[in-house]
Amino acid sequence: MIEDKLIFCSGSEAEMLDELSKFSSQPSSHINATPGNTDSGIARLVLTLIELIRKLVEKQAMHRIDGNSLTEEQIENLGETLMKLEMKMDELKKHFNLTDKDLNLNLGILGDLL
Amino acid sequence: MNMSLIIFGIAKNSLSHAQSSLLIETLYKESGISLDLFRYKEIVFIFADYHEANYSMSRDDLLRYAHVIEHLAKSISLLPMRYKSLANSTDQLSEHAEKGYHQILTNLELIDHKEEFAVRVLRSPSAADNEDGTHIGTDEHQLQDALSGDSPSRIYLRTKYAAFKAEELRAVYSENVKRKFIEDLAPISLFYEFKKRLSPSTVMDAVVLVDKDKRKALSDLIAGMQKFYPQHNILMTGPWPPYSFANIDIQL
Repeated sequence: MIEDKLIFCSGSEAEMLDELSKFSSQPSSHINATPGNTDSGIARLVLTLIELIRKLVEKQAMHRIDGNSLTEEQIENLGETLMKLEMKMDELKKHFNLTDKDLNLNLGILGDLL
Repeated sequence: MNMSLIIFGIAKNSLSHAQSSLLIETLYKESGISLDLFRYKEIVFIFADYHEANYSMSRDDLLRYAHVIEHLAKSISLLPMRYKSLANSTDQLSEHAEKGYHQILTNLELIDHKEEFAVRVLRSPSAADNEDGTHIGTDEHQLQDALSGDSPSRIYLRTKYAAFKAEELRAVYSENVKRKFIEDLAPISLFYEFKKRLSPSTVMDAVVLVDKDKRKALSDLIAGMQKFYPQHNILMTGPWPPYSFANIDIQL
């Protein structure tokens, strides 16, 4: 059905197919928790929220760097903290067998959460 | 609650009995779904028996549902409903119609004789990194100096900071592309929505509501845009039922 809807495309065939495939591979808009998979369903939801907060913290840190108001020591500490947070997040994803793609929610017209 | 009706959309109650019978008959032949109409003043709900339609949460059923909406939207101006819009009975439809009547009518006016199109401006993978002509200024170089050092945390921060600045530049560039698109679109349509969060490969992701007679004008606009931005690939799809403009907040 999607192919029938293509009116204008300037890219190569490969690029077009890649883009069209995104229509059918959007991140899920809901957590598929069932009685059999409550652990992984909840883990996915919780990790998605943690990842969102981690990214917000990271962005805030970049704004502070941009403001040029951090001392050498603060910059060093900030880098170490952010690095450890990301490493911890990677560990948790691995533990629950989740990928970056799993930690996302499609918010319709607002786009993807992450 | 035992929901018994699945609603596909709402339209203006302007179809004659013969026209609606023909539409229902055609859809039954195509999809095997037996549609029914519930008329309330100037609007009409288009629905089917939920159990008879046999819908589940599968992707195939979602496509089946979308196919019915697609077909209806080709014949009439339709406010498409979201998948699994359910109601207990026509009495409940009547209640909802009464509550949201003016909002529904306003939305029906908005989408009347119009179609939705999606327009995406993509960063071509083959394009140069600074395709938008923006450059990192002196201040940022100084800041990069402030992050200099060989410790793992400094290297980590530099990488993150570079990505952050690149994202900022992309956002500014996207805003400029959107502004130009809105200006160019103005003679054709004033109804558009932009997806707010974009992937790094997307410059602009928009939906526009265009009068059916102006489809060609929109295609020409997109072709002109492609000439203006040869470094990007532009993708236009449609016509779609006006999903992005069916702002109905009544809960069915």
